[in-house]
Amino acid sequence: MSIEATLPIGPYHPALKEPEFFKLFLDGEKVVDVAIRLGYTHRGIEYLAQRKTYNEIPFLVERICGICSNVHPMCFCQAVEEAWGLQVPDRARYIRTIVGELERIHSHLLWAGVAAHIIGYDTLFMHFWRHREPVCEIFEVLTGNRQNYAMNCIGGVRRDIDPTKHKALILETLSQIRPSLVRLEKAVTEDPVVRARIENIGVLSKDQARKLCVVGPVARASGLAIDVRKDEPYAAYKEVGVDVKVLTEGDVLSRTLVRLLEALESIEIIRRALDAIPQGPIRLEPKQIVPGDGIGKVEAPRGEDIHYVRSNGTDIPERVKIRAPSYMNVPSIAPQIKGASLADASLIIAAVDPCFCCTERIAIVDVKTKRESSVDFESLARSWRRKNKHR
Amino acid sequence: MSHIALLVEKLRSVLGDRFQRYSTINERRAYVYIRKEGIRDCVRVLFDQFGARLSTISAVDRNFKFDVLYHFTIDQEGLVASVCLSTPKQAASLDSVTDILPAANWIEREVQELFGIKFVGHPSPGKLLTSDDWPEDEYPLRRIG
Repeated sequence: MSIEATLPIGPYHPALKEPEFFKLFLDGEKVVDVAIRLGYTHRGIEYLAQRKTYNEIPFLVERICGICSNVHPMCFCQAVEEAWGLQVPDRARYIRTIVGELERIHSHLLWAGVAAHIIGYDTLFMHFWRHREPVCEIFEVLTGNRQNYAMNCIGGVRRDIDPTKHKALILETLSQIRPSLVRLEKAVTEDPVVRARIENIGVLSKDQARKLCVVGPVARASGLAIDVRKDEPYAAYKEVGVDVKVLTEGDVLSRTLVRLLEALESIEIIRRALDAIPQGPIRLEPKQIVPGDGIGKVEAPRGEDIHYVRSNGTDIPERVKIRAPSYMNVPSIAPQIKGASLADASLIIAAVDPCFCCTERIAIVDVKTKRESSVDFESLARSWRRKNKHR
Repeated sequence: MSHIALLVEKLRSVLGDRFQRYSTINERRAYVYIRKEGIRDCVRVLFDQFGARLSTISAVDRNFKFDVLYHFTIDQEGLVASVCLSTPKQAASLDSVTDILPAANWIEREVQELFGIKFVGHPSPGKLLTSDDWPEDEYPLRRIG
Protein backbone atom coordinates (compact mmCIF):
# COMPACT_ATOMS: atom_id res chain seq x y z
CA MET A 1 0.00 0.00 0.00
CA SER A 2 1.43 3.37 -0.98
CA ILE A 3 1.01 6.31 1.31
CA GLU A 4 -0.06 9.21 -0.86
CA ALA A 5 0.02 12.06 1.58
CA THR A 6 0.76 12.99 5.16
CA LEU A 7 -1.41 15.48 6.96
CA PRO A 8 -0.17 17.21 10.10
CA ILE A 9 -2.82 17.97 12.71
CA GLY A 10 -1.49 20.10 15.54
CA PRO A 11 0.43 20.82 17.69
CA TYR A 12 -2.77 22.74 18.34
CA HIS A 13 -5.66 20.32 17.98
CA PRO A 14 -8.35 21.99 15.90
CA ALA A 15 -11.12 21.03 18.28
CA LEU A 16 -9.58 20.73 21.73
CA LYS A 17 -7.50 23.91 21.90
CA GLU A 18 -4.66 21.97 23.45
CA PRO A 19 -1.26 21.08 22.05
CA GLU A 20 -0.48 17.62 20.77
CA PHE A 21 0.77 16.66 17.36
CA PHE A 22 -0.89 14.03 15.22
CA LYS A 23 0.69 13.22 11.90
CA LEU A 24 -1.82 11.33 9.79
CA PHE A 25 -0.66 9.18 6.90
CA LEU A 26 -3.29 9.16 4.20
CA ASP A 27 -4.20 7.07 1.21
CA GLY A 28 -6.73 9.33 -0.47
CA GLU A 29 -9.37 10.00 2.16
CA LYS A 30 -8.42 6.96 4.20
CA VAL A 31 -6.18 7.19 7.25
CA VAL A 32 -3.45 4.55 6.99
CA ASP A 33 -1.45 5.33 10.10
CA VAL A 34 -0.85 7.96 12.74
CA ALA A 35 2.23 9.22 14.58
CA ILE A 36 1.61 10.99 17.89
CA ARG A 37 4.09 13.45 19.36
CA LEU A 38 3.86 14.71 22.93
CA GLY A 39 5.96 17.21 24.78
CA TYR A 40 4.46 20.59 24.04
CA THR A 41 3.19 21.46 27.51
CA HIS A 42 5.67 19.96 29.93
CA ARG A 43 5.66 21.77 33.23
CA GLY A 44 8.04 19.66 35.30
CA ILE A 45 5.46 18.83 37.95
CA GLU A 46 7.12 15.60 39.14
CA TYR A 47 10.43 17.45 39.35
CA LEU A 48 8.83 20.27 41.33
CA ALA A 49 6.94 17.88 43.61
CA GLN A 50 10.23 16.38 44.73
CA ARG A 51 11.34 19.82 45.90
CA LYS A 52 8.24 20.90 47.83
CA THR A 53 6.83 19.96 51.21
CA TYR A 54 3.87 17.61 51.63
CA ASN A 55 1.57 20.50 52.48
CA GLU A 56 2.41 22.35 49.28
CA ILE A 57 2.11 19.47 46.83
CA PRO A 58 -1.71 19.10 46.83
CA PHE A 59 -1.92 22.65 45.49
CA LEU A 60 0.74 21.90 42.89
CA VAL A 61 -0.82 18.69 41.59
CA GLU A 62 -4.23 20.36 41.55
CA ARG A 63 -2.84 22.39 38.66
CA ILE A 64 -2.03 19.35 36.53
CA CYS A 65 -5.47 19.52 35.01
CA GLY A 66 -8.05 22.27 34.99
CA ILE A 67 -10.97 19.94 34.39
CA CYS A 68 -10.37 17.13 36.85
CA SER A 69 -8.67 19.33 39.41
CA ASN A 70 -10.07 17.41 42.38
CA VAL A 71 -8.69 14.09 41.21
CA HIS A 72 -4.95 14.68 41.44
CA PRO A 73 -4.82 16.17 44.96
CA MET A 74 -7.21 13.49 46.22
CA CYS A 75 -5.03 10.82 44.64
CA PHE A 76 -1.83 12.31 46.05
CA CYS A 77 -3.34 12.66 49.52
CA GLN A 78 -4.51 9.04 49.43
CA ALA A 79 -1.00 7.90 48.49
CA VAL A 80 0.53 9.86 51.37
CA GLU A 81 -2.16 8.69 53.80
CA GLU A 82 -1.33 5.10 52.82
CA ALA A 83 2.41 5.66 53.26
CA TRP A 84 1.92 7.29 56.66
CA GLY A 85 -0.85 4.95 57.80
CA LEU A 86 -3.51 7.64 58.30
CA GLN A 87 -7.23 6.91 58.67
CA VAL A 88 -9.25 9.74 57.16
CA PRO A 89 -12.37 10.75 59.18
CA ASP A 90 -15.67 9.39 57.80
CA ARG A 91 -17.18 12.76 57.07
CA ALA A 92 -14.13 13.74 55.00
CA ARG A 93 -14.45 10.53 52.96
CA TYR A 94 -18.05 11.40 52.10
CA ILE A 95 -17.16 14.98 51.19
CA ARG A 96 -14.43 13.68 48.87
CA THR A 97 -16.99 11.42 47.21
CA ILE A 98 -19.50 14.21 46.69
CA VAL A 99 -16.94 16.62 45.24
CA GLY A 100 -15.50 13.86 43.04
CA GLU A 101 -18.89 12.98 41.58
CA LEU A 102 -19.87 16.60 41.00
CA GLU A 103 -16.63 16.92 39.09
CA ARG A 104 -17.44 13.84 37.03
CA ILE A 105 -20.77 15.37 35.98
CA HIS A 106 -19.23 18.63 34.83
CA SER A 107 -16.32 16.88 33.10
CA HIS A 108 -18.55 14.47 31.16
CA LEU A 109 -20.89 17.27 30.13
CA LEU A 110 -17.93 19.34 28.99
CA TRP A 111 -16.72 16.45 26.85
CA ALA A 112 -20.19 15.79 25.43
CA GLY A 113 -20.46 19.45 24.47
CA VAL A 114 -17.09 19.41 22.72
CA ALA A 115 -18.03 16.22 20.86
CA ALA A 116 -21.32 17.80 19.73
CA HIS A 117 -19.36 20.83 18.52
CA ILE A 118 -16.98 18.61 16.52
CA ILE A 119 -19.80 16.89 14.68
CA GLY A 120 -21.20 20.32 13.88
CA TYR A 121 -24.22 20.21 16.17
CA ASP A 122 -23.70 23.42 18.08
CA THR A 123 -27.21 23.56 19.53
CA LEU A 124 -26.52 20.33 21.38
CA PHE A 125 -23.14 21.71 22.47
CA MET A 126 -24.85 24.72 24.03
CA HIS A 127 -27.44 22.56 25.79
CA PHE A 128 -24.77 20.34 27.33
CA TRP A 129 -22.78 23.30 28.55
CA ARG A 130 -25.87 25.05 29.82
CA HIS A 131 -26.45 22.14 32.20
CA ARG A 132 -22.79 22.00 33.16
CA GLU A 133 -22.94 25.59 34.35
CA PRO A 134 -25.08 24.98 37.50
CA VAL A 135 -22.57 22.30 38.61
CA CYS A 136 -19.73 24.84 38.40
CA GLU A 137 -21.89 27.21 40.41
CA ILE A 138 -22.31 24.56 43.12
CA PHE A 139 -18.51 24.36 43.26
CA GLU A 140 -18.26 28.10 43.66
CA VAL A 141 -20.58 27.99 46.66
CA LEU A 142 -18.99 24.87 48.20
CA THR A 143 -15.34 25.68 47.69
CA GLY A 144 -15.05 29.31 46.59
CA ASN A 145 -13.85 28.33 43.11
CA ARG A 146 -15.43 27.00 39.94
CA GLN A 147 -12.24 25.07 39.19
CA ASN A 148 -9.15 24.25 41.29
CA TYR A 149 -11.25 23.74 44.39
CA ALA A 150 -8.40 23.09 46.88
CA MET A 151 -10.69 20.78 48.84
CA ASN A 152 -8.20 18.06 49.70
CA CYS A 153 -5.43 18.03 52.22
CA ILE A 154 -3.47 15.19 53.74
CA GLY A 155 -5.72 13.67 56.39
CA GLY A 156 -9.06 14.94 55.09
CA VAL A 157 -10.67 17.94 53.43
CA ARG A 158 -10.33 21.66 53.99
CA ARG A 159 -13.99 22.74 53.89
CA ASP A 160 -17.16 21.27 55.27
CA ILE A 161 -20.47 20.87 53.46
CA ASP A 162 -23.25 22.71 55.27
CA PRO A 163 -25.91 20.09 56.12
CA THR A 164 -28.83 22.40 55.36
CA LYS A 165 -27.83 25.21 53.01
CA HIS A 166 -25.33 23.36 50.77
CA LYS A 167 -27.29 20.12 50.78
CA ALA A 168 -30.46 21.88 49.66
CA LEU A 169 -28.59 23.69 46.89
CA ILE A 170 -26.96 20.50 45.57
CA LEU A 171 -30.17 18.46 45.66
CA GLU A 172 -32.20 21.17 43.98
CA THR A 173 -29.65 21.69 41.21
CA LEU A 174 -29.33 17.97 40.57
CA SER A 175 -33.08 17.49 40.37
CA GLN A 176 -33.17 20.29 37.82
CA ILE A 177 -30.45 18.95 35.53
CA ARG A 178 -31.39 15.27 35.73
CA PRO A 179 -34.45 15.35 33.42
CA SER A 180 -32.49 17.50 30.98
CA LEU A 181 -29.67 14.97 30.88
CA VAL A 182 -32.11 12.17 30.14
CA ARG A 183 -33.53 14.26 27.32
CA LEU A 184 -30.07 15.05 25.94
CA GLU A 185 -29.12 11.39 26.02
CA LYS A 186 -32.12 10.74 23.80
CA ALA A 187 -30.99 13.55 21.50
CA VAL A 188 -27.77 11.61 20.98
CA THR A 189 -29.17 8.11 20.65
CA GLU A 190 -32.40 8.76 18.78
CA ASP A 191 -31.32 11.40 16.29
CA PRO A 192 -30.44 9.49 13.09
CA VAL A 193 -28.01 12.17 11.90
CA VAL A 194 -26.02 12.19 15.15
CA ARG A 195 -26.09 8.41 15.27
CA ALA A 196 -24.81 8.08 11.73
CA ARG A 197 -21.90 10.31 12.62
CA ILE A 198 -20.75 8.41 15.73
CA GLU A 199 -21.92 4.82 15.36
CA ASN A 200 -19.27 2.26 14.30
CA ILE A 201 -16.63 4.98 14.21
CA GLY A 202 -13.29 4.56 15.97
CA VAL A 203 -13.89 1.00 17.12
CA LEU A 204 -11.54 -0.35 19.79
CA SER A 205 -11.92 -4.09 20.37
CA LYS A 206 -11.88 -5.60 23.84
CA ASP A 207 -8.62 -7.39 23.09
CA GLN A 208 -6.91 -4.20 21.93
CA ALA A 209 -8.27 -2.34 24.94
CA ARG A 210 -6.76 -4.94 27.26
CA LYS A 211 -3.38 -4.99 25.51
CA LEU A 212 -3.12 -1.21 25.61
CA CYS A 213 -4.31 -1.17 29.23
CA VAL A 214 -6.78 1.64 28.54
CA VAL A 215 -8.82 2.92 31.46
CA GLY A 216 -12.06 4.70 32.26
CA PRO A 217 -14.93 5.22 29.81
CA VAL A 218 -12.73 4.12 26.88
CA ALA A 219 -12.21 0.71 28.54
CA ARG A 220 -15.81 0.43 29.72
CA ALA A 221 -17.14 1.22 26.23
CA SER A 222 -15.05 -1.70 24.91
CA GLY A 223 -16.47 -4.21 27.35
CA LEU A 224 -13.85 -4.07 30.11
CA ALA A 225 -15.72 -3.75 33.41
CA ILE A 226 -13.05 -1.84 35.29
CA ASP A 227 -13.68 1.06 37.64
CA VAL A 228 -11.51 1.95 40.61
CA ARG A 229 -14.60 3.07 42.54
CA LYS A 230 -15.93 -0.49 42.38
CA ASP A 231 -12.72 -2.55 42.26
CA GLU A 232 -10.82 -0.81 44.99
CA PRO A 233 -13.31 1.43 46.78
CA TYR A 234 -11.70 4.59 48.13
CA ALA A 235 -13.37 7.59 49.83
CA ALA A 236 -16.95 6.49 50.68
CA TYR A 237 -17.69 4.38 47.58
CA LYS A 238 -17.86 1.17 49.58
CA GLU A 239 -20.78 2.56 51.57
CA VAL A 240 -22.64 4.43 48.84
CA GLY A 241 -22.02 1.91 46.04
CA VAL A 242 -21.47 2.41 42.30
CA ASP A 243 -23.30 0.95 39.34
CA VAL A 244 -20.55 0.55 36.73
CA LYS A 245 -21.75 1.25 33.19
CA VAL A 246 -20.28 -1.14 30.63
CA LEU A 247 -21.00 -1.33 26.91
CA THR A 248 -19.42 -3.66 24.38
CA GLU A 249 -19.41 -2.02 20.95
CA GLY A 250 -16.27 0.04 21.54
CA ASP A 251 -17.21 2.84 19.13
CA VAL A 252 -17.64 6.57 19.67
CA LEU A 253 -21.35 6.10 20.34
CA SER A 254 -20.59 3.68 23.19
CA ARG A 255 -18.06 6.06 24.70
CA THR A 256 -20.61 8.86 24.54
CA LEU A 257 -23.29 6.71 26.15
CA VAL A 258 -21.00 5.45 28.90
CA ARG A 259 -20.18 9.02 29.85
CA LEU A 260 -23.78 10.21 29.81
CA LEU A 261 -24.97 7.21 31.84
CA GLU A 262 -22.16 7.80 34.29
CA ALA A 263 -23.18 11.42 34.72
CA LEU A 264 -26.68 10.21 35.61
CA GLU A 265 -25.24 7.61 38.00
CA SER A 266 -23.13 10.33 39.62
CA ILE A 267 -26.32 12.20 40.49
CA GLU A 268 -27.61 9.10 42.30
CA ILE A 269 -24.29 8.63 44.10
CA ILE A 270 -24.32 12.23 45.34
CA ARG A 271 -27.90 11.83 46.59
CA ARG A 272 -27.01 8.64 48.48
CA ALA A 273 -23.86 10.21 49.91
CA LEU A 274 -25.74 13.32 51.09
CA ASP A 275 -28.30 11.09 52.80
CA ALA A 276 -25.73 8.97 54.57
CA ILE A 277 -23.03 11.52 55.43
CA PRO A 278 -22.08 11.16 59.11
CA GLN A 279 -21.31 13.98 61.53
CA GLY A 280 -17.81 14.46 62.83
CA PRO A 281 -14.43 16.04 62.10
CA ILE A 282 -13.36 16.65 58.50
CA ARG A 283 -9.63 16.58 58.99
CA LEU A 284 -7.03 14.63 60.86
CA GLU A 285 -3.81 16.39 61.76
CA PRO A 286 -0.88 14.13 60.82
CA LYS A 287 1.41 13.70 63.82
CA GLN A 288 4.58 12.50 62.13
CA ILE A 289 6.06 11.72 58.74
CA VAL A 290 6.58 8.00 58.38
CA PRO A 291 9.02 6.58 55.80
CA GLY A 292 7.46 4.18 53.34
CA ASP A 293 5.71 3.70 50.00
CA GLY A 294 2.15 4.68 49.18
CA ILE A 295 -0.03 4.27 46.11
CA GLY A 296 -3.13 6.39 45.58
CA LYS A 297 -5.76 5.46 43.03
CA VAL A 298 -8.79 7.47 42.00
CA GLU A 299 -11.31 6.98 39.21
CA ALA A 300 -11.02 10.29 37.39
CA PRO A 301 -13.68 11.20 34.81
CA ARG A 302 -11.21 9.89 32.19
CA GLY A 303 -10.23 6.73 34.07
CA GLU A 304 -7.81 5.45 36.65
CA ASP A 305 -5.41 8.05 38.03
CA ILE A 306 -2.48 6.69 39.99
CA HIS A 307 0.09 8.43 42.18
CA TYR A 308 3.08 6.72 43.76
CA VAL A 309 4.79 8.44 46.67
CA ARG A 310 7.96 7.36 48.42
CA SER A 311 8.41 9.02 51.79
CA ASN A 312 11.88 9.05 53.37
CA GLY A 313 10.90 10.58 56.70
CA THR A 314 11.72 14.18 55.76
CA ASP A 315 9.08 16.77 54.90
CA ILE A 316 9.91 16.47 51.19
CA PRO A 317 9.00 13.26 49.35
CA GLU A 318 11.79 11.21 47.80
CA ARG A 319 9.72 10.46 44.72
CA VAL A 320 6.32 11.44 43.39
CA LYS A 321 5.19 9.58 40.29
CA ILE A 322 2.01 10.70 38.58
CA ARG A 323 0.22 8.81 35.84
CA ALA A 324 -2.93 10.44 34.58
CA PRO A 325 -5.57 8.40 32.70
CA SER A 326 -5.10 10.05 29.30
CA TYR A 327 -1.54 8.74 29.20
CA MET A 328 -2.94 5.23 28.76
CA ASN A 329 -5.86 6.24 26.55
CA VAL A 330 -4.14 8.41 23.93
CA PRO A 331 -2.10 5.52 22.39
CA SER A 332 -5.39 3.71 21.73
CA ILE A 333 -6.14 6.35 19.09
CA ALA A 334 -3.76 4.56 16.69
CA PRO A 335 -5.75 1.30 16.27
CA GLN A 336 -9.01 3.26 16.26
CA ILE A 337 -8.02 5.68 13.54
CA LYS A 338 -6.45 3.22 11.08
CA GLY A 339 -8.84 2.70 8.20
CA ALA A 340 -11.09 5.56 9.23
CA SER A 341 -12.07 8.40 6.93
CA LEU A 342 -10.20 11.65 7.35
CA ALA A 343 -13.44 13.43 8.22
CA ASP A 344 -13.81 11.25 11.31
CA ALA A 345 -10.24 11.67 12.53
CA SER A 346 -10.91 14.72 14.65
CA LEU A 347 -13.87 13.08 16.36
CA ILE A 348 -11.96 9.85 17.02
CA ILE A 349 -9.10 11.77 18.61
CA ALA A 350 -11.54 13.72 20.75
CA ALA A 351 -13.58 10.66 21.72
CA VAL A 352 -10.96 9.26 24.08
CA ASP A 353 -11.37 12.59 25.90
CA PRO A 354 -7.65 13.22 25.79
CA CYS A 355 -6.49 15.61 28.44
CA PHE A 356 -3.15 16.84 27.22
CA CYS A 357 -2.42 18.76 30.40
CA CYS A 358 -2.59 15.42 32.17
CA THR A 359 -0.47 13.55 29.67
CA GLU A 360 2.33 16.04 29.70
CA ARG A 361 3.49 17.04 33.07
CA ILE A 362 7.05 15.87 33.67
CA ALA A 363 10.53 17.21 32.88
CA ILE A 364 12.45 20.18 31.60
CA VAL A 365 13.73 22.56 34.20
CA ASP A 366 17.22 23.75 35.19
CA VAL A 367 20.41 22.87 33.22
CA LYS A 368 21.73 26.39 32.87
CA THR A 369 24.90 25.32 31.16
CA LYS A 370 23.07 23.60 28.34
CA ARG A 371 20.72 26.43 27.69
CA GLU A 372 22.79 27.88 24.88
CA SER A 373 22.02 24.89 22.76
CA SER A 374 18.26 25.15 23.20
CA VAL A 375 18.06 28.04 20.85
CA ASP A 376 15.05 29.96 19.77
CA PHE A 377 12.87 30.30 22.83
CA GLU A 378 15.67 31.37 25.09
CA SER A 379 17.17 33.87 22.67
CA LEU A 380 13.70 35.26 22.21
CA ALA A 381 13.35 35.66 25.97
CA ARG A 382 16.81 37.28 26.17
CA SER A 383 16.02 39.80 23.51
CA TRP A 384 12.76 40.59 25.27
CA ARG A 385 14.61 41.18 28.54
CA ARG A 386 17.16 43.40 26.80
CA LYS A 387 14.44 45.40 25.24
CA ASN A 388 12.58 45.89 28.50
CA LYS A 389 15.60 46.54 30.71
CA HIS A 390 14.83 50.19 31.21
CA ARG A 391 11.20 49.78 32.15
CA MET B 1 -5.12 -18.87 50.26
CA SER B 2 -5.25 -15.16 49.68
CA HIS B 3 -4.80 -13.80 46.19
CA ILE B 4 -1.47 -12.20 47.11
CA ALA B 5 -0.12 -15.50 48.44
CA LEU B 6 -1.29 -17.26 45.28
CA LEU B 7 0.40 -14.67 43.09
CA VAL B 8 3.63 -14.77 45.07
CA GLU B 9 3.75 -18.59 44.93
CA LYS B 10 3.25 -18.56 41.17
CA LEU B 11 5.96 -15.95 40.64
CA ARG B 12 8.34 -17.79 42.94
CA SER B 13 7.91 -21.04 41.01
CA VAL B 14 8.30 -19.39 37.58
CA LEU B 15 11.19 -17.10 38.45
CA GLY B 16 13.20 -19.47 40.64
CA ASP B 17 16.31 -17.76 42.01
CA ARG B 18 15.40 -14.53 40.23
CA PHE B 19 12.64 -14.10 42.83
CA GLN B 20 13.93 -12.33 45.94
CA ARG B 21 11.21 -11.50 48.48
CA TYR B 22 7.86 -9.81 48.91
CA SER B 23 6.13 -7.53 51.38
CA THR B 24 2.60 -6.24 51.84
CA ILE B 25 1.18 -3.08 53.39
CA ASN B 26 -2.40 -4.36 53.44
CA GLU B 27 -4.55 -6.79 51.43
CA ARG B 28 -4.61 -4.40 48.45
CA ARG B 29 -0.89 -3.67 48.09
CA ALA B 30 1.90 -6.16 47.40
CA TYR B 31 5.53 -5.34 46.64
CA VAL B 32 7.40 -8.19 44.93
CA TYR B 33 11.19 -7.86 44.69
CA ILE B 34 12.88 -9.66 41.81
CA ARG B 35 16.21 -9.58 39.99
CA LYS B 36 16.03 -7.55 36.83
CA GLU B 37 16.57 -10.57 34.56
CA GLY B 38 13.16 -11.90 35.59
CA ILE B 39 10.98 -9.01 34.44
CA ARG B 40 9.88 -10.47 31.10
CA ASP B 41 8.76 -13.77 32.63
CA CYS B 42 7.13 -11.86 35.44
CA VAL B 43 5.11 -9.70 33.03
CA ARG B 44 4.00 -12.80 31.07
CA VAL B 45 2.69 -14.46 34.24
CA LEU B 46 0.89 -11.37 35.50
CA PHE B 47 -0.66 -10.39 32.16
CA ASP B 48 -1.60 -13.85 30.85
CA GLN B 49 -2.50 -15.72 34.02
CA PHE B 50 -3.67 -13.08 36.48
CA GLY B 51 -5.33 -10.65 34.05
CA ALA B 52 -3.17 -7.81 35.33
CA ARG B 53 -3.02 -4.38 33.76
CA LEU B 54 0.14 -2.28 33.70
CA SER B 55 -0.76 0.95 35.48
CA THR B 56 2.62 2.61 35.25
CA ILE B 57 6.34 2.29 35.93
CA SER B 58 7.99 4.45 38.62
CA ALA B 59 11.74 4.88 38.66
CA VAL B 60 13.44 6.19 41.80
CA ASP B 61 16.98 7.57 41.76
CA ARG B 62 18.85 6.09 44.74
CA ASN B 63 22.21 7.74 43.95
CA PHE B 64 24.17 4.60 42.98
CA LYS B 65 21.27 2.64 41.55
CA PHE B 66 17.76 3.04 40.25
CA ASP B 67 14.79 1.34 41.88
CA VAL B 68 12.21 0.60 39.20
CA LEU B 69 8.66 -0.34 40.20
CA TYR B 70 6.24 -1.83 37.71
CA HIS B 71 2.77 -1.19 39.15
CA PHE B 72 0.35 -3.88 37.97
CA THR B 73 -3.33 -3.60 38.80
CA ILE B 74 -5.44 -6.72 39.13
CA ASP B 75 -8.88 -5.15 38.87
CA GLN B 76 -10.98 -8.16 39.82
CA GLU B 77 -9.19 -8.35 43.16
CA GLY B 78 -8.70 -4.60 43.69
CA LEU B 79 -5.00 -5.32 44.10
CA VAL B 80 -1.88 -3.41 43.05
CA ALA B 81 1.14 -5.68 42.69
CA SER B 82 4.30 -3.60 42.36
CA VAL B 83 7.20 -5.54 40.89
CA CYS B 84 10.37 -3.90 42.22
CA LEU B 85 13.83 -4.32 40.75
CA SER B 86 17.08 -2.40 40.71
CA THR B 87 19.65 -1.54 38.10
CA PRO B 88 23.04 0.09 38.72
CA LYS B 89 23.28 3.69 37.62
CA GLN B 90 26.34 3.06 35.46
CA ALA B 91 25.04 1.85 32.07
CA ALA B 92 21.54 1.41 33.48
CA SER B 93 19.49 -0.94 31.33
CA LEU B 94 16.45 -3.19 31.55
CA ASP B 95 14.73 -5.58 29.15
CA SER B 96 11.84 -3.98 27.31
CA VAL B 97 8.45 -5.65 27.78
CA THR B 98 6.66 -3.70 25.04
CA ASP B 99 6.51 -6.72 22.70
CA ILE B 100 4.63 -8.68 25.39
CA LEU B 101 2.53 -5.80 26.66
CA PRO B 102 2.05 -2.96 24.12
CA ALA B 103 0.86 -0.62 26.89
CA ALA B 104 4.45 -0.37 28.12
CA ASN B 105 5.52 1.47 24.96
CA TRP B 106 5.16 5.07 26.10
CA ILE B 107 5.85 4.31 29.74
CA GLU B 108 9.25 2.78 28.98
CA ARG B 109 10.16 5.60 26.64
CA GLU B 110 9.28 8.11 29.35
CA VAL B 111 11.51 6.38 31.91
CA GLN B 112 14.30 6.10 29.35
CA GLU B 113 14.08 9.78 28.53
CA LEU B 114 13.79 11.15 32.05
CA PHE B 115 16.17 8.82 33.91
CA GLY B 116 18.45 7.44 31.21
CA ILE B 117 17.58 3.79 31.84
CA LYS B 118 17.92 2.03 28.50
CA PHE B 119 15.16 -0.41 27.60
CA VAL B 120 16.81 -3.08 25.48
CA GLY B 121 14.66 -4.35 22.64
CA HIS B 122 12.16 -1.48 22.59
CA PRO B 123 10.64 -1.32 19.09
CA SER B 124 10.59 2.52 18.85
CA PRO B 125 12.88 4.04 21.45
CA GLY B 126 12.73 7.60 20.09
CA LYS B 127 11.93 10.81 21.92
CA LEU B 128 8.50 11.09 23.47
CA LEU B 129 8.46 14.07 25.80
CA THR B 130 11.56 16.22 25.62
CA SER B 131 12.10 18.73 22.84
CA ASP B 132 14.07 17.86 19.73
CA ASP B 133 17.09 19.91 20.78
CA TRP B 134 17.30 18.47 24.30
CA PRO B 135 20.85 17.08 24.77
CA GLU B 136 21.21 13.31 24.44
CA ASP B 137 23.05 12.73 27.72
CA GLU B 138 20.91 14.93 29.99
CA TYR B 139 18.13 13.29 31.98
CA PRO B 140 15.74 15.72 33.68
CA LEU B 141 14.79 13.58 36.68
CA ARG B 142 18.21 12.02 37.27
CA ARG B 143 20.12 13.39 40.23
CA ILE B 144 23.46 14.87 39.41
CA GLY B 145 26.48 13.04 40.85
